[in-house]
Amino acid sequence: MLRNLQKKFLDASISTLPISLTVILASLFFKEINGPLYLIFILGTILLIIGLAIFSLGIDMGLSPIGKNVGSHIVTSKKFFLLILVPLLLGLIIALAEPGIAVISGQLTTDPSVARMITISLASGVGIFLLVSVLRIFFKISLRLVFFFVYGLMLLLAALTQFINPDFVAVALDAGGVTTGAITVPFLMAFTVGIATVAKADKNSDGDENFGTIALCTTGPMIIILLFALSGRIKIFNEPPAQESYSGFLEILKVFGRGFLLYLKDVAISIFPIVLTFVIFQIFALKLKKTQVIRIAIGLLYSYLGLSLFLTGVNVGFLPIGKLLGGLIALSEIRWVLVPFGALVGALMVLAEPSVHALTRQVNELTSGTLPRKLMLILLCLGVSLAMGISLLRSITAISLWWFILPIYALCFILAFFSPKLFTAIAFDSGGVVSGPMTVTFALPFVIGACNAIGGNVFTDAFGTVAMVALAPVLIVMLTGTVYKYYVRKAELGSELEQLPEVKDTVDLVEADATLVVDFDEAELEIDENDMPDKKHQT
Amino acid sequence: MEGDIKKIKPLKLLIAIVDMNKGEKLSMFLNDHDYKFHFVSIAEGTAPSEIRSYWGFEDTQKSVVWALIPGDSSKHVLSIIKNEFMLNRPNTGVVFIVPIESFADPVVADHISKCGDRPENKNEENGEEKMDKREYSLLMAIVKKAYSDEVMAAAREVGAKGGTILKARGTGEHEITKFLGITIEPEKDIILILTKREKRSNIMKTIYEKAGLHTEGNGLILALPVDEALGSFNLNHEMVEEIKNLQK
Repeated sequence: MLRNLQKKFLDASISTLPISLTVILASLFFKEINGPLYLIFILGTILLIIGLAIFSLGIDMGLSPIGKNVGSHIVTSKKFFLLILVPLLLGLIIALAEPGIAVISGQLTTDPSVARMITISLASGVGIFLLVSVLRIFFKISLRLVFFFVYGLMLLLAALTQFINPDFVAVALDAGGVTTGAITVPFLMAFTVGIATVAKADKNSDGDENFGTIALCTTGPMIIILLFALSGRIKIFNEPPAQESYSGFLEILKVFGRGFLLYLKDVAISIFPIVLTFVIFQIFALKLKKTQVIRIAIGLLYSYLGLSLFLTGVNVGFLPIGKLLGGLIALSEIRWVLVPFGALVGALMVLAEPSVHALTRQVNELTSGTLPRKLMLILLCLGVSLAMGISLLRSITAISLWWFILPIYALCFILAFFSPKLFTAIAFDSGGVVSGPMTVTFALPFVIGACNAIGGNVFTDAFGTVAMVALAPVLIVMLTGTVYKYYVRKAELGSELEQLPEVKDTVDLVEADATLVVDFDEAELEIDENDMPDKKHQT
Repeated sequence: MEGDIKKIKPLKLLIAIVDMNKGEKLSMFLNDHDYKFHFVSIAEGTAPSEIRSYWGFEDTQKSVVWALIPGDSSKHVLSIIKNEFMLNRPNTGVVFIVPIESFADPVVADHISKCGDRPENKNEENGEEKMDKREYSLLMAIVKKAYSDEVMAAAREVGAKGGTILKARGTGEHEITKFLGITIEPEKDIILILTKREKRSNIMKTIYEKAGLHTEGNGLILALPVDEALGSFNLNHEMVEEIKNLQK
């Protein structure tokens, strides 16, 4: 009974409790963190678990099936305009509905007309890169080539910006992770798989056509913001930090209630384009059966409620304590503890990132278990752990982001020649996947808190965290891919020598002994109303 | 020997459908017992009823393990798997054995027929043993993607307990088309249903009516012989209750 639901809740608890316990244990060292904050944090954790479990069910039942169906339909319909228009429009409206985009453009200008222009440009960036990804998959263009070109362009623009308007580099690199939210990522991943499944892969593909979209769609906004920065039309405004303090239990519940209403609205807006896409496609093209439509509708409802609960938990419960804790550790005598503690938080935090489960599941399915969930999770943990360590080191020492970004990108480009194509594709996608709501609302405030307390420049030293979180896993997954390839080759060489030396090139068919074929009555195979031989067995 | 078709010791194909996380364990287990030729694929289990499938609380991902085993140790393999994975409990999975008629390489065939550890009691398990009538059948329905619901609904109507869905692509000549120079292969679902042999014709008929070639599901329905099978599929409702009571 309800085994799947049990499993989802178990998974969600295993994903969430480690980070919660770590934060609580660390908080015990500081008197400043008091009773109400603990209460808020624990309530937040509960919401996080419930939200994550329901949302992950919603991904499986709603977001993924819609993505796959729409993706495979635009190919099987064999209409060129669908193949071009759908990704462009889909990318555009999904991005427009993403609350993160409005926040970014609000940060970059006070002029509402400029803000609107930035929002639309960012969304078009997502649309264009979604189209690039779709065409790449369809025409089997090497992902390595596309990455070289796109990331090369992005790094070039970033380098130019460094000279003209250095404050923007970190902000722009962070933007990529912010624009692809928890709804977008699983949907786009499934959309990609939908296209890749029906468009026959060529012989030298190793499954890499199923990935790459997330990576490309995160690069679009980065490039757009860098272009704006180079044009000199924007500058950064610091948001006034919302300082809230609450004491009574009722007040705390009220804060959660208010948060929940807010995120119900936010998530409703960001899920709307997907519902709309499904309705249009269902009426005009897909024409799925009633049972499936019901299941997808329930899945969408799960996604909606689950993500609203999750975001409430993380924003109301995790954000305040994250910010406070970062600052408190930074001010304490053992400031260097920030780096290892940040690494630990990074490793555990990624488990609670909702899209991560969609990614590990998809990877496991598409590789038929060659890359099992557990391994994938470990790699992501290592990656984010590295990223958080580096980010906190930067917030303490104010080392330029370039010292880390450039070598890691360079290394990734080199490894792209050695790592199997599938690993490369998964690697770049995983960057966009791990930089989800947990990173933005827990890790980033943690680093900002530390940076503020030390008195560093938040824009150059704390921002860039999301970019690091999105970059480090890429390196780790590609390194693993390279090692994996080495071992596979070694194992293949070994087995060739050891086994079956006399396999011939002409084949003798071998038949099983005829006596073993038990009385197999051919008449039974026919489906015939008059002839029901099976009754013989019963009597 | 040369030229003639050689007779070999019979080989069999063992198919195990277990929970996703057990798939790897099972293949390690087979390795440990020296059965070296097996492959794993991923499939979806179905919920016990249509209404319950709407809520998504019971769908599960499954691993399907396909293992080539020597024909004379099939009973032995089944029994060790049953003990290790407790397949007599409800909802744990099914294992069954399908005969292999021909094999395209005598060297490999010979190799397979010798692999695996043997049961102690030789008399009971020799290849020439006359088998009982086959008790089970494996139904296989190949339909257009997303028509697995119709198949399962039809099968449930006439008493099938559950099924497993494998994702596939149609590569038949009449199915693939070209678009902008790229080959397009339509998606298919393959539904496996293990059933008592006496229910077989009835289920096949019902599935054919609901999702056969004349319908939109465009389905092919066929049955494979199953030599032996074990698992939770053949437990009826009362037995499940009984086992639950025993566990309490």
